[in-house]
Amino acid sequence: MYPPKLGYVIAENLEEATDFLEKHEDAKALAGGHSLIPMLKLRIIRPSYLVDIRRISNLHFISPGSDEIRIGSLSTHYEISKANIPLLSETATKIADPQVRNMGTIGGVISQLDPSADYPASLIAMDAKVKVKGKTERTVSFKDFAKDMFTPDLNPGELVTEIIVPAFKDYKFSYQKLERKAGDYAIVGVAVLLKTDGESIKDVRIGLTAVNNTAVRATEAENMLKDTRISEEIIEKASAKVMDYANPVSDIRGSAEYKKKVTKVMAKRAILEALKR
Amino acid sequence: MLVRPGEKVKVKVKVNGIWYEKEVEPRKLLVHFIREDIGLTGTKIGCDTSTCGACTIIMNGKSVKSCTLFAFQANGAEITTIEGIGDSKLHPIQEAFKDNFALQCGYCTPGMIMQTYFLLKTNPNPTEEEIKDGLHGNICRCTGYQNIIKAVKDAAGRMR
Amino acid sequence: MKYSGRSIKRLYDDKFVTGRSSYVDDLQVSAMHAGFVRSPYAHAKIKSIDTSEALKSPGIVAVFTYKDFSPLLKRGIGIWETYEDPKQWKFVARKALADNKVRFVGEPVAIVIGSDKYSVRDAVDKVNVDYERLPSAVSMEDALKDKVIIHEELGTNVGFDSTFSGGDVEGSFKQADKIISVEITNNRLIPSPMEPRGIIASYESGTLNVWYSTQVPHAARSEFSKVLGIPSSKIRVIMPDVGGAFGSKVNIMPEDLSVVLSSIKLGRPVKWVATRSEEMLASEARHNTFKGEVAVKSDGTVLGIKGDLLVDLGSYLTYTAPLQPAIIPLMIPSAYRIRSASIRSRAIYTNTPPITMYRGASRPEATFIIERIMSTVADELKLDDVEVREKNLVKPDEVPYTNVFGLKYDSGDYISLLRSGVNKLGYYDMRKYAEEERKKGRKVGVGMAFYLEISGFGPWEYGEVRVDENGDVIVITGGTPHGQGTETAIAQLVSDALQVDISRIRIVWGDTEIVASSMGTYGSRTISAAGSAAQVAASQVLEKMKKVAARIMKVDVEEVEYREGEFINKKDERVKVSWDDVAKAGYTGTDPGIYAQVTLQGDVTFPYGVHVALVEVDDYGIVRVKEYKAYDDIGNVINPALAEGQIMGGTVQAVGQAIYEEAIINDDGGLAVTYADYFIPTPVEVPQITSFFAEKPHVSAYPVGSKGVGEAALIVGPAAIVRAIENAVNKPINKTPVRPEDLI
Repeated sequence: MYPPKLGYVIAENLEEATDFLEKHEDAKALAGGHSLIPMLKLRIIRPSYLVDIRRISNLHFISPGSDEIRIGSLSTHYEISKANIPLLSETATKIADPQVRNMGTIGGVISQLDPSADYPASLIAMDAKVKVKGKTERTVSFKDFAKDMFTPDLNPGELVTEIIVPAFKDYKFSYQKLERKAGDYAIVGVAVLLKTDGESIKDVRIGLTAVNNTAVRATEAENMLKDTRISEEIIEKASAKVMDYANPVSDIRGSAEYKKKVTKVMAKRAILEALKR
Repeated sequence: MLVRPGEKVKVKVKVNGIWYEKEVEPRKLLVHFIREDIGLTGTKIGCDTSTCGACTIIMNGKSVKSCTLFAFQANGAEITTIEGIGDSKLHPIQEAFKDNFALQCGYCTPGMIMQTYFLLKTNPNPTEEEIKDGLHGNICRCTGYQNIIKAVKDAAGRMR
Repeated sequence: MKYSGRSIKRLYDDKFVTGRSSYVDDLQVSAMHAGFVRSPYAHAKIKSIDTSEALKSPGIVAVFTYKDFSPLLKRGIGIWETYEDPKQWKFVARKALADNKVRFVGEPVAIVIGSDKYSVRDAVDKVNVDYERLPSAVSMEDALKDKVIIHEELGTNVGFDSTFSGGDVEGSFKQADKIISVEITNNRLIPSPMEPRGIIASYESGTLNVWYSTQVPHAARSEFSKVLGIPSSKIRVIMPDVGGAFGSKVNIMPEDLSVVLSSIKLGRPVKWVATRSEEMLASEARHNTFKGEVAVKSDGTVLGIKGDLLVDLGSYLTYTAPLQPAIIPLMIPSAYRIRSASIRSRAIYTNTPPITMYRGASRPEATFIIERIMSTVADELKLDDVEVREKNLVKPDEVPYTNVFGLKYDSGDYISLLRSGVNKLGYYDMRKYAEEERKKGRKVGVGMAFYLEISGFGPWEYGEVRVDENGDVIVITGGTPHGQGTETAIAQLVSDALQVDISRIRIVWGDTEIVASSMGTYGSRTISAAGSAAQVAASQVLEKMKKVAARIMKVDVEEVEYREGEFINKKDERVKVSWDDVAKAGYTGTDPGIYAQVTLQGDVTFPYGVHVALVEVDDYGIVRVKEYKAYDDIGNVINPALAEGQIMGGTVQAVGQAIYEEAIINDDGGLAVTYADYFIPTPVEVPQITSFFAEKPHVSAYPVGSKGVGEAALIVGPAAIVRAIENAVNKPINKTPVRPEDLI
């Protein structure tokens, strides 16, 4: 309940922040604090310094464009939920509870990479890109950025500055999250984006979270659905294939066997909900 | 600006319309700051996992869980606590809670009322589903929630 | 009657809705803060404790261990002897801190006292305890083997072993058409009131003042007195606002005692407020299994029950734990005419956090067992749930009825209530609806359960009424409401007795200096016991007022009639004196003072009811309780809204117990859940709740005639919900909680 002693720095700009983080390897960036502060209260981590980055205004924006949408890493879940971004806005509405959504940021979530986080399913389905800045700037696919659980591709002194997603005009989408109770972490989260042309599916993306160390794309299931006529049968088959991509662990939210079973059911639900749009 | 571990930092906050300036350790949580340094104990502490919402306040117009913020993050901010809604009379939300038996032990009530305040600001005429979704970050162990939902509907009506 | 029976608004809500409430953590007392060093092991010897580093920590005033406290202790914390018999128990009284051994993960080993909570927490990390780990017995099965003995001086892990029997069990089993086996389990759960407990102790010049988040200030005073050897006249316990308890704050904890002892040693006030993690450790409940057999005739008549009840105690016997193994068997027969039964009840120590009590304290366990038995009988014999129960319910002309274990049920017509309830709640329509939905492929189910419970515990309760010289009224009650709103109901009763406006009445409780004596609020007894005592005191006060009025009007007291604020000369109604004038006169002249103190004896009473749940199980095994309906005979209902509030709160706790809440103990004996994964229902999980009270209630012997409603919904709810889930998925279920993976 009581965080350990720590110091802090307010960064006025990005350079200050990344400089400090590079010089102090055990310092942590503080944005919304809703991943960091709970860990500090349980004394799971003991950073020497917190670098408060909320004043860095050029990290706080949402820029919609015709081809792609750029989202500053300090955008809160609440702001993203209101921004009409296909799939991602819906995902944001399902994170935690309203108070947490008012503070939590997308940069914070993907810098932590909790295996049960919600955004990763959607980001991987959307082929999102992540802009990282330290001494230099680089852009990496979210898939590559999410190396392993709690292991983002971030070197000391680097911060996520932006997330870029395609605009996905004319796409239908759905993010379905199975929770034990409202506000909980996902037992499984399935993100579906698809483009239809009459009775057939032209493009489909399926992202899964909470059932692996990181979010995954169920590519074989996607291939089964691409360029096919929509039918109960093919959706059933594809959902079963999605289940193959789930390698969950048994924990308080369910046994591994249970989680695998519900992955299939959730995938089907997500596909059907997306088609309804 | 840099504050070393063990050093204190000045925090200036406007709470319920009044500016305060206090010196605290960087690690001091905002909820402790409000309760101890400002002396407003209406905001309660109910858990240690950011789950229960008893510590909910309004900061710069948004409802937040003050147990999951450091006091220094509120520097320069405008905060409203349960003591700050309603003035010489009770706020309609407070009246509605009383009239609808929406509290029993009262411990979750300040947080519940502050979250209701935020909910109704952003959604002045919520459906029952929207009320339940809007309050799911606030736990009550006594009332079974049904009367709270009634109170929120009632408050929404009084405030329109 | 102007107030009783009406949903009068609660009197003291203003402070709660404006944040001016004062729970123990809100009190502005200049005190040192306390934190605890806790064992990381389930079972270990304490080889040494090095406090030197911690003492060097800035702001730290003291670090105490058992050796610092033992000279001040006359004995350990005992058990609630009002209701529990120590002679039936093998136990070691709990000391303030672990002495040479720790017996559960989280057991307090040292107390750190400092100027602020953050430094105290830092210093807790600096206390070095050298442990020698011992093998542990975490499960009841393991502990029963008595290979790892948790309390050596007891020589066994069985703390209680008593067989409750009556009738002719062997004979009943011989006569049976069928013998049905059952195994029924409730898994450990945590009461979790919103306010974590806390205590401020201030010892000064031989006097101890304690502000305590408790349900039983007088019992606490008494226990502190016995444990410390300080006369109770030198101890004051004050109950501030208490943020819920559900039975868990009757328990007196070693942490509380450690804080008091620290204050005595330091001569300064010391404060401890539990974090939520500590609160979860402080109070766990209901971990029991019943394995048994039921002898039945093919028409559904239950002839006899025999079985084995195992109750987990955790590692220490707590103040309130003895209730469960002793009362569960007594209540298993419920309202059914079961004339032969033999139940062996054993309570087992395990290397886990100690078990206390939780709303219902033995009746939820008993009701779950008997209702699962009745439903299993119904299923085995292909009979209807209601039919089987009606067949076995005690008939109205048999009441008062003494059950097979000697419990005497006071009043009631169980069959009429079952029939009216089932009708009023629309049970059969709901069952039909569920069946139709199941035909469409949805897993919808409806279940019912009946309960008879024991409440209104005596042996007495205190009520005092004072009328001051202005005619205003103060009621001092031995009840200790902490959210129920019973103070408002008591005001209604006194208002009606005195026929004064309720705005003139103030209710006071919870301070041992002000309240001459009290038992407290628990066991659904407050309106019955405390309300009755206040009501009787009010009528005595009225008699005194009449005497004063008689004096003023210069008539005999028999000629005085009191109506609506006026004392009237029966012989000449123009001669009258107002309430206010009588009050003023009551403090002048001879024999001044208008107050009455009553210690009213009382005994248990038996409310009963039928509840129905409608659930839907989705494709993920997630259960939603959509509707929950209650029909209860709780005797006289003084404030319907408050009574309904108890049903609604109990219902959501029942939803929690049935499908969400599980205090999982891992293999190492530690509590494996935090508040984030101990799933307490949010507003999203609640059903539509409808509550009715019997049109023709059967009263208790208490003057108020009520029977108590505080625990009812949690007593029967889990059974009704589990039955509904069974109906939805067509699978037998005999435990709580039901997990999603059990259903798909």
